[in-house]
Amino acid sequence: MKSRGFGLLGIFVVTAVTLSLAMPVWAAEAPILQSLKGAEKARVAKLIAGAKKEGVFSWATNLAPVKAAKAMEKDFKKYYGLSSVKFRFANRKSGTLIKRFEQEIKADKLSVDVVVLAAASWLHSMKRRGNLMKYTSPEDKYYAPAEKAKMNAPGYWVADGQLNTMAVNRDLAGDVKLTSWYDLTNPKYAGKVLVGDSSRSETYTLWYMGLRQVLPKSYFEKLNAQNSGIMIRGAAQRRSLMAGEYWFGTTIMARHNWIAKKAGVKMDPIYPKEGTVALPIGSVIMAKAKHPNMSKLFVDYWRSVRGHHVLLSYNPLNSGRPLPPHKDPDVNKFILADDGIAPPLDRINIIPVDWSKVTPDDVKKWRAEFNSVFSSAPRKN
Amino acid sequence: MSTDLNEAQLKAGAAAAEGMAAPVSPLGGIFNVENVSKIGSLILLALLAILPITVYLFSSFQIHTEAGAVGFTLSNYVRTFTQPKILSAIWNTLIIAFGTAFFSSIVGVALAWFHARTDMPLRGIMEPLTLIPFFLSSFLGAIAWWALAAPRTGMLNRWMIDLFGLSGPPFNIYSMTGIVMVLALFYIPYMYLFTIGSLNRMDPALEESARVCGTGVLRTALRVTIPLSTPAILSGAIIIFVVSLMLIAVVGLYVQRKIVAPRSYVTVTGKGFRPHRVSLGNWKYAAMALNLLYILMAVILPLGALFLASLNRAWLGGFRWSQLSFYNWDFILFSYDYAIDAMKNSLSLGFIGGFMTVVLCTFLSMVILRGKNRKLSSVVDYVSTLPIGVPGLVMGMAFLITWINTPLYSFPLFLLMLAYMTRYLPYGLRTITSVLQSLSPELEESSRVCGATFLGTIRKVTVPLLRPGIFAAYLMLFIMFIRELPVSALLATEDSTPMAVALYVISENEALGVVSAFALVQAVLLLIGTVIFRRLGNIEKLSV
Repeated sequence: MKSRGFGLLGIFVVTAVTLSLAMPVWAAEAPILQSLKGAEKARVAKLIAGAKKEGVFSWATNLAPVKAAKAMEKDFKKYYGLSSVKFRFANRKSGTLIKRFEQEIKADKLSVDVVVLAAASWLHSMKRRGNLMKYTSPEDKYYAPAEKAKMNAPGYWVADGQLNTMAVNRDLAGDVKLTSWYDLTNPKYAGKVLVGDSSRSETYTLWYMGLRQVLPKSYFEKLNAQNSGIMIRGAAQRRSLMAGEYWFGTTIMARHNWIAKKAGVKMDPIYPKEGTVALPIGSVIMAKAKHPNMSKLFVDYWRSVRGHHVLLSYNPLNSGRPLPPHKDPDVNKFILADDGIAPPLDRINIIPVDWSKVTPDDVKKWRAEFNSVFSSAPRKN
Repeated sequence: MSTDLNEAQLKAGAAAAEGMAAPVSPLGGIFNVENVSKIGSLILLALLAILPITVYLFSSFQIHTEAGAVGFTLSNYVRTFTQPKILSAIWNTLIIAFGTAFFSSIVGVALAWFHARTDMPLRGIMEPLTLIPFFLSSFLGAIAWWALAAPRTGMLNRWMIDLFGLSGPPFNIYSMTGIVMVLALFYIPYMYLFTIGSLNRMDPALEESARVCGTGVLRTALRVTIPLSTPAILSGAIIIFVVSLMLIAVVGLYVQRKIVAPRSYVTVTGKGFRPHRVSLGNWKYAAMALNLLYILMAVILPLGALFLASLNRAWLGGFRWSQLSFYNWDFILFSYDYAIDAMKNSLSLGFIGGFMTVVLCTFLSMVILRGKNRKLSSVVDYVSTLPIGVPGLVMGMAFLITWINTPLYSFPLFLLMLAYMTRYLPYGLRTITSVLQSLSPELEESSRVCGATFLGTIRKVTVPLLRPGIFAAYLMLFIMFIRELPVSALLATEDSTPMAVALYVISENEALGVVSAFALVQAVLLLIGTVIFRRLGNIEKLSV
């Protein structure tokens, strides 16, 4: 009896020790793994193990400001249990990033793993040259709205949207009802409309090209005849609209409306009935990324609801996937609402453009037309 | 300053008299310290300036396709120079560059003359104020002047329309006149710094002789003082023109070599002189008024606009008490870690990179002005000035494609420093050569004749005499390095992000108030840096 008691005690002790040793392993499991099952859990666990060995991750974008990137980094590390991974992040103009990465690719010294850019022609060129890694994230299936707008490149990227659309300074224009691009040709708005300078920016050239699918050339000639201003930098356009130099923008990004909103200026985006051009924002992994495991995990995160929600707390983005309500009511009210600063693409009339077929010659052609239309407009940088 | 010079000259004489004899080796004729130093400087110059520009130039003759660079063709140039839009842009740029160089030269030289040679009141207070625009980037100047002179919402325009009942805005920042005005306001301190060194070092006996012969003050200035400063004035004007033009400086260099080089402008010799200032009579108050007007236009108005903008949560075309907020300052000073790292990087680049550039400039200026081989001197002069006409973005790209295949690419901060050195080498070189040009070689020759070594002569004769010039060059480079944007935008990584890039990122992502607050922080840091420089260099005045 006594020996039986010792035996039970022994079993109890061994069990307790085994459990206590196992506890840290269980406790250390990344939060994301707790929500996954089966093959997907095994896949992600393997990527996490690989990411821990890689220890470093480098990404770049012109879309997320530094504080948004830091917030995403912090949440990602916590969610994937990768607190020891060192993040490198670069926030530069898209042209600057492209120039740098092109040279790095030529020299076989690529320094970046993941790039998030609204640069359709470059992304397609990279894909054609085999410089992008093929990767299908489990999140990709939710990007049907972007697929419908021909913004995705399945197997390489699914896209969120960069909308350069109409915006109005309500403090000056009041509650004027704007539903069409043609509303801006009202003579009483002469000299109060601002247009992005397509002669010097591919982004605005693509905007012009997209709008020309639904608007005739004569529409832009009217805008020019009304002494519309021409400006290249998005930040300069924002400052001019905020200060009241102009009342209406035509190429204003969601980010700039958000900055104005935060500063207390009521600058509303308008999504005209003829449609709006959405440039694809691709989150892509470089073919020669040095940290492929981290890259795949981060791309999963970027394309997920969780990643989008963290980003939206700091910076607006027109999501290529439908999104559930955000925990912050202000984000729902000011950003995600149908008339908000950045509703998901499924709630906006996007002008479909087959971005994979846009060539440099197209860009030249449309730029030349823009130049011929706006040749007499005052350029204001 | 002149007293310092006299002491320096005495020291030079004493150093020469000490007879620092150097042992002569059989190979001394070839591999001596002098030759090695000069050849080393030339090799460094070739690596920094010639190689990247050549690589970049070569790539401009290739057609770049998705398959890579192919062929060797002029078609890129043909396409560029047959586009009416580009030709029109070149014409506009020429007008802007000429206008900027012209107005900044007139005002900059006048202000330098007031400060260096006349009895204008309040010189001591006004010099640092006159140089403040030098601490601000033209990017910030543009933002400030946009807030002041935008046609509809500019504060100055609105104020003048209200005050005088004008029918339209008197200023238009978007016009050619507006662009030239803002650029000139920010280049005037360059001209001031380029010329005041040679004006300070001028023997007043020359002017006194003119005055004794009955020549008036203005005529003396125009016929004696200014002509003697022609090398510095021309150098400054050409540099401002070329920088405004942002084209390869072949024409500018040609003009500089043809007009400046053949003439002699030695004004500092072994003979001592006593300092003397020209009396302007009642005109000294007019001079002061002109200087104050410049300070108002270039300092008080733009900085005031930035300060007011920094105190408003949103800039609605004018300061509003209802918008008063300290959020922008709180954000920049306490919430933006990114900016603090950027400040550390910029300060490292400014202090270390500036020092390395000054050392290189000193050696190169000696090769140019004291070298026995005139052809070599000319080549070095041309080549070292070449980077000034290369736009920053092109320089960054040239550095990227040249050095990406080397181990240097793994050290982005160092690569950035080398790119800065190359880009701003001409500025340092012009400042030092303009002073060296006014020093008679007889002082160094005396030292060498007495047996001093090359380095000994540099250390005990040349550098003490050049000290104000070296200090001015170091300060100028420090400030330029801190403000640099285009090269940094391309070459800087996250770990090597400098302040100017951080400022650009802020301007993209934050409202005008935050940008203004950060700009003011940058300006204050540069002023503090300047004070430290003055203390370290034991220099009483800001300029040479």
